[in-house]
Amino acid sequence: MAAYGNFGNMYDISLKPRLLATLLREHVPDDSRPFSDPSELASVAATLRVHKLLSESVEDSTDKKLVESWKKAVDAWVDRLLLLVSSDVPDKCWAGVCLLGITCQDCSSHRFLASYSSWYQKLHAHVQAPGVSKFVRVASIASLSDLFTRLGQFPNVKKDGISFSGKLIQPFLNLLDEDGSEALWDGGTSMLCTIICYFPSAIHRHYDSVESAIASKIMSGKCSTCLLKKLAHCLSILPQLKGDEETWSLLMRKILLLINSHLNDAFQCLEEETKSTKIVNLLVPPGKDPPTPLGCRNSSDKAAVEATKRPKRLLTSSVSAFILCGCEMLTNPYPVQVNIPVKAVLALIERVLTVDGSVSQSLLPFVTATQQESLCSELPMFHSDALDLLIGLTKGMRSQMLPHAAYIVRLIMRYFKNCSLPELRVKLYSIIRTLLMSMGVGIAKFLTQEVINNVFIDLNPDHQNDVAFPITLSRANEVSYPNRKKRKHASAARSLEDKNETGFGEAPKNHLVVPASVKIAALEALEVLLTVGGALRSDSWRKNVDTLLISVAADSVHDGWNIEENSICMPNELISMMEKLQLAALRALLASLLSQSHVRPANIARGLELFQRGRQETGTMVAEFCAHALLALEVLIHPRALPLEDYSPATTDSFGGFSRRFAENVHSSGQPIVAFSQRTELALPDSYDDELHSKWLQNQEKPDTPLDEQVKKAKYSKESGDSSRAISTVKEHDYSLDKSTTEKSKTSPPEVDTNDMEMEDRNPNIVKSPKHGESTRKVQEHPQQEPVLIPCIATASKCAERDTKTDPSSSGAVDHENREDGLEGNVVVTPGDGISASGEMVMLGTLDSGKGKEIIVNPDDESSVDVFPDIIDVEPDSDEE
Amino acid sequence: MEVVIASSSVGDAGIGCWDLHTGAEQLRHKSCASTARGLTSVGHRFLASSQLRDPSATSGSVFYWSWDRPQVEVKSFPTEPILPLAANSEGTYIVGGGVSGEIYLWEVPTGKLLRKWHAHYRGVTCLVFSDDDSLIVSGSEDGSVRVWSLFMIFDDMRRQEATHLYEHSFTGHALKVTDVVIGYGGSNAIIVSASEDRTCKVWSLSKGILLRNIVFPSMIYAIALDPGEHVFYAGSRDGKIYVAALNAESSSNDAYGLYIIGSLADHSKAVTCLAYSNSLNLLVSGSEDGMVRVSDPKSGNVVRMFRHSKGPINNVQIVRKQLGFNPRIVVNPQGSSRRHESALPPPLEKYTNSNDDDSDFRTVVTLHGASYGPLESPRISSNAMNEQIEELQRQSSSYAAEMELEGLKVDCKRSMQMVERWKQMYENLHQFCVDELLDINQAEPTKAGFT
Repeated sequence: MAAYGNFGNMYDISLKPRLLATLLREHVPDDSRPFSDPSELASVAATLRVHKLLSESVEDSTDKKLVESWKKAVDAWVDRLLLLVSSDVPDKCWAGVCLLGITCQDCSSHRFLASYSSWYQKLHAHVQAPGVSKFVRVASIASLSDLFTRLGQFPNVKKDGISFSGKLIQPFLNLLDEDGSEALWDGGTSMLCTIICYFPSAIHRHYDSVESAIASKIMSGKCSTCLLKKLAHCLSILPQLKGDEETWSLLMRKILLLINSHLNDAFQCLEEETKSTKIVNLLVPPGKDPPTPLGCRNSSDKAAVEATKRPKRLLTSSVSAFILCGCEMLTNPYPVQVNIPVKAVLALIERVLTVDGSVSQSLLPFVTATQQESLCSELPMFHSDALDLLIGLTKGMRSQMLPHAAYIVRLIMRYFKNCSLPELRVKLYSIIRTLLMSMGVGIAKFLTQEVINNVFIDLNPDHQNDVAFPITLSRANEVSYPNRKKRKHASAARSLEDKNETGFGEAPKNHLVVPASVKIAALEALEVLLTVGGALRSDSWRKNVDTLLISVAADSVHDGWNIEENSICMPNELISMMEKLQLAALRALLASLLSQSHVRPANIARGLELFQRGRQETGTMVAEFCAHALLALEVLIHPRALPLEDYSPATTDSFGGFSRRFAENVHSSGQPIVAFSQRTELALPDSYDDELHSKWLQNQEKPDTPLDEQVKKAKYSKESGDSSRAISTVKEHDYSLDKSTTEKSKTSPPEVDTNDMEMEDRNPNIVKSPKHGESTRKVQEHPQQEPVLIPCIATASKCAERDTKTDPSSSGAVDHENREDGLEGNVVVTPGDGISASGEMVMLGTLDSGKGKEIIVNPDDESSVDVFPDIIDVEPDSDEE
Repeated sequence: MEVVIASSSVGDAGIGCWDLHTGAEQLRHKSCASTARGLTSVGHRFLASSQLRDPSATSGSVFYWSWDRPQVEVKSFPTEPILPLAANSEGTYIVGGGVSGEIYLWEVPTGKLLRKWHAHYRGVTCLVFSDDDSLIVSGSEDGSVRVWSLFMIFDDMRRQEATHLYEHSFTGHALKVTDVVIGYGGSNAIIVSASEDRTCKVWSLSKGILLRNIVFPSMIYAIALDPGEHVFYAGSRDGKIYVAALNAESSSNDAYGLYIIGSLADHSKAVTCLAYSNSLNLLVSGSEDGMVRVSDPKSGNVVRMFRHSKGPINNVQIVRKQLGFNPRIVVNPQGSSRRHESALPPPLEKYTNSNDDDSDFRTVVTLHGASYGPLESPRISSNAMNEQIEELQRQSSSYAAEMELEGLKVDCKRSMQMVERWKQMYENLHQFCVDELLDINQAEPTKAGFT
């Protein structure tokens, strides 16, 4: 093999030197060969990454030859790159610089440490030398950033890093100052960020000049949005250079003052003057000088700046950048505690949000329509930024936001009433989510009504006639949703399509359709509300919300799950939006089903059905979530109270597990702990620790012990003897088990399958028993048994029928499932009694039917709501249709 | 490191501290005569305890200890003696209950007394935060248990409108409430209260009703919840820890009474405090005999015993100790020395600040954020390269043009050189030929004429 230079497979180390040599030979330009296709470089870089060609990490270092050959290959590679970097042909030089940057990151630490300083010299030459092509310069800056990033990971060479990066700062500040190109600025900003992160002490004494350079760059108004974001990020991490409290607070105050003074210009004549001064007073302690404005190095040239920059108003995009910077400062970690000027920030936010572009009567003569128009066009941007700042503040303050929570809630609610732009509503919902999550149950009570009112406005249009909504707002009437008749049966998808169709008769009204993004945000807010405070004072509003959620969820999936299939002509964004909407609807539905604490969720059957169907959409987010939802709901259906005992390993092997448990019981019999396991089913290896199981066992005695509604947690019979009775007669045991399975099939037809699986897991010996297959076959061979089994299911499925009547599409399936489940339930049970023949099964079946009826007429059932979902109480399902 | 901390009403014993894993005793903090339920860890960063004072004293006192020093570091003196003390899990608020029934709420980083309200008719005996830190549950000597929403407490407008501040007021106990715990589950949580009337009561937070009343053979001083809320443990005056059913089944013929399904670890004297270790599944109890016992609730056996003092223990807690609490990782060396000694926050203030104009200059917040480093270092150069490649392929941007121009310039230069060379060569050749011809002509004119 080795003789021909072949190698084992694609993981073989000996491949790597060869591959690297080939790359170098065929794809990397050299002196003689011209460099034609730049895209070749990308593929070279990809190959390097995929095969880790530069890593030189050999697991088995005994093979000296291999190590040597790889080292040689990388040596050749680096030599070539250095040659290219010094080439005077710009494109070759550029290629060399780019690949050197990648090499800096990917080569072995040993090689990096040995040669970083020479590489630095080479790259540095391109940054400062005059006459270098801009293209090469940008690439050199990027490669240098990577070099510093790598260097920052070796603490022992920190000194070199500091001295190298220290040399670069002044050139970079000049670079930001001078008129260059966007790409250069971008590279310079990334470089500054890298140095701030890894070598803060190098830049420490330049703090002020860096701050003013970045700030004036943001204010220059010549940058793209993307660059502005980068600059804002860079400014926000700047205080970490010094890492003390004053630096952070000072920068924060400077930013707020700058924004405030800009608002003075923008909102001229639209608000009272006092608001601005109030904010300034909050930011500047009385008797102290205000800090130098951002973008000025010291107070002496403040006046000059004032003179030159005053007339030019800041661009809105610059203000956004400063607000973004403030947000990042609030949400990024900082080494010491800081002083956040909460009140000033809140006052600033309120100042922005209260301006809606209307002009008060007294000021009307001073404002021209053009002025008003230009402001109104920018206002949504301002509002959006202010809301962002509020989100940032809430995140940063965490629990310490509590003293201001009431103020925020009031502000938000006032704003919500008039806010009708989709983007802003989405943000408002997101603020509500943050508030609810950070302040928990305590705030939920006070937000509930407002959230629900707004959610209904955004989600209701198609269902106005179904439910009586608790809307008291006048806005509900103002916003008339178009095409109501037409879209009565339309799904969210359709409404999306409607939105896209323009130019038709009803087009002018179409902007009033609630966009999917707002619906998603509303659903998410509702989900959080239900999660946090779903059980609080819930009687008044839960029913409507639950009904709304089930119908929204059903509607969102109405057009079929498989969006891709039946919407080939839809654009991609629309599809992902629909998926998000489905997901949001299903998530909210799950929260509504789970958060209900005192009564059985009315929509549980339909919810289960939706999740079950959703789970089949393999490979989608929806399917994943549906699987999760089914798992969560399973606990709702089979509530379990888990005692503190070790039992997990026992599930795997039937006999070992059994004996171990047996021994444990014996051992602890003298201890008080026996109290925990008084119903020791020593003779029942298949029922250890399973609360559910024992509950069902005890269930048949339940009617004897009337239950107290309030102490529902102790709803199980107290006679420990009854379990032993259950044990003594094997038949009775089966009988109860059987009953339990039928119970399940009644309450939740689709869920039974998993239950049976669970039971089989618990009874490993049964599963392994050859009789299992036998009895299954028997049942299949005797289809005449089915009529015997029917009664117990038929009574049960009465309630399901109501459901199915209204939902004809699934009626057949449900019915069919019911029967099958019933059958299966019996099959699982039969092996338990050993040699049971089909005859006994028939008897069990009949017994069962009687029992089933008895349960249904049993008035005591109402009190056992929690034991297993009530069967009679299914009305809500039917009357909502 | 998970540690048990215990304090007693006797001053010289201090606060004992033991590693729960190894049983090794840690540093003992000095001079602490705590009130019952008056010991708490603030955000796991440091310890705070309200102190028993002689009855004549009019003001209360609350002390702070940092983990690594034995002596009291910060002393505060609230207006009245504080009995129970509790902090939220983040360690940003401390609440204390006064002997007059007032509840005080301080902000830890600044020490500001943010709110103070009259909560009970008689002294507050126990205070706990709910699992999401948005509610406070308080118990009192008058037998009432009340639930407070912090949001409501801070909302001045709603306070004025509302008839009462509390969310729920449970008035089932006939005598002093000795302990209160609140379980998991947000709005669906349960509250369990113990009282000197020999009962424990289970309340529903969402409905605000009594779920279960359990009568014990003796007074219950302390309760602890099983994390699965299957049972709860009740430490009683007769030295037993009773196990009472929540979700667990119980039978009517239990030895001790309805819902009481067993008892654990007999102490010789009354059990005064309980704590449950979630990570090790151990129950820690403090007793009037000065011992801390750690028992395994599964078997009921005592696993460890710690001797704390001769006097009665009245607080045990399990704390996940944050060693080296020093968030001041100051980057530059200048600031570090100055910052070092102020590791603990300032003392708690006596009075609320009526004019809150200046309050904005004292909102101290620790910014947490996502503090993990990047999983992968950013690949700036390859990103830049890809962008540039794209530009080159578009061939529209000025850079690309510039780059091409540069390339062409070089080509041009090279071509010029080439031309020069060719020219030179041509010249040379020409010269050569001319010279040759002339030479030949001179040398062999006949031959030249022949060719």
